[in-house]
Amino acid sequence: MKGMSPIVQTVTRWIRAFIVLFGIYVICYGHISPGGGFAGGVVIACGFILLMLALGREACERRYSIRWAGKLDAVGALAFAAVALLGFAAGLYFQNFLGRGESFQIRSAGSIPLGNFAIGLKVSASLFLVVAVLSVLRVAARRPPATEAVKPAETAETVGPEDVPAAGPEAAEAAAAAGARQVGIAPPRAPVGEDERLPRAWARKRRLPTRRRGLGGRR
Amino acid sequence: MTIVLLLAFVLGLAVMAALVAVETTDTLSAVIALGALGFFVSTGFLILCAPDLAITQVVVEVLTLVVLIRATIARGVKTISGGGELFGRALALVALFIVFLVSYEVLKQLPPFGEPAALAAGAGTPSVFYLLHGLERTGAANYVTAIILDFRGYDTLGEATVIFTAVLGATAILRRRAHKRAEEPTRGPFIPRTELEEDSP
Repeated sequence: MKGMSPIVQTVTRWIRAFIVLFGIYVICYGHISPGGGFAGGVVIACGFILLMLALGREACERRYSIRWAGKLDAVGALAFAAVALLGFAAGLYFQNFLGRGESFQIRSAGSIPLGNFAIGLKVSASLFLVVAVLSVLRVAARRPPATEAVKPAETAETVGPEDVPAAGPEAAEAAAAAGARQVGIAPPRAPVGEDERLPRAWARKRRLPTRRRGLGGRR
Repeated sequence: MTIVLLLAFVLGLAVMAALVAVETTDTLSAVIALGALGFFVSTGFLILCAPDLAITQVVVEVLTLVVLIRATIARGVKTISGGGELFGRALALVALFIVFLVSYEVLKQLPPFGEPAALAAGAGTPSVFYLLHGLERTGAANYVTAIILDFRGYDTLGEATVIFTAVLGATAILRRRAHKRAEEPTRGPFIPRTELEEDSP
């Protein structure tokens, strides 16, 4: 997906930090003020999704790795389970094993902030991952008509005039199937065609110079 | 009294948005009306002094709206053909009537509006216990967080498991590799992605 207009992109670059900061605030103060891990995690995920909508999927994937989002998702889930298991230190599953502290301070409520952090990490990573994967699906679903316009013309020149596809839905489907078959047979290192038709972010990231920021980076 | 009027106004708007979402034939309009419905419900939570629910509702609504609008635009579905056969409508009316009767009988059991439901439940119930001893037992000033992360931690762990499983299923179905394998059934043995990546320049 392409990005939006420069106005939207500039404003997005300005406010994205504030959106993520607000999400972190909602998570950190979840045990004092309204909010909590889930709401704050969704706010952070909305910040990244706004970035993806405004700058385009490719630019967003260059900065924030989808693979890392999946890993953070698993880390958050395991961290929450670990908070639950650490309750055994105080005797029981899910026991509040830290000191309760003074109420209305940020260091209070024992292990509740830890659970909020874990859930916030998990929810933000997983929702960003879902939207990123959905946008990939959309690209893959939309691309075939573009190749279908190109491929039959090439085969028509080499094979003969009787293979020129007639206008109509059946011919278009057959051409799309032929294009899909050609791409499928092609070896993994095939030139530009396959890479554009079913883009692989992890292959493309190797070619393009990356600007490492935030959660980005290769591995 | 003003709270009741305000709530009735907001919920009336929510009902109108729901009717628009059901009745319109344009998919994009239906999705936008669904977003309006979520916004009005969130405002209703805010009026009822439940800011936790309001925050969660509004952020989830925004996210769902973005996903639904993108899906609607991508699929290019413009209209929904309305109308249905007579039998289906009669069945729907009967089901609606039964649901109405059941909910009428159930809602009669609720305490009057404005009276704390937890205290009306009587002493010794868990809700009264949470209200009376929540702060000293957990130290969390936000009782909602105290309940979902301390008293009812099992439930939250179950929810986290549900989200994790849902995301796992979505990524497994929607990732690129699944589409590529579906298009080329005669590929040969399964090659993990890591080997392919190290193979490619």
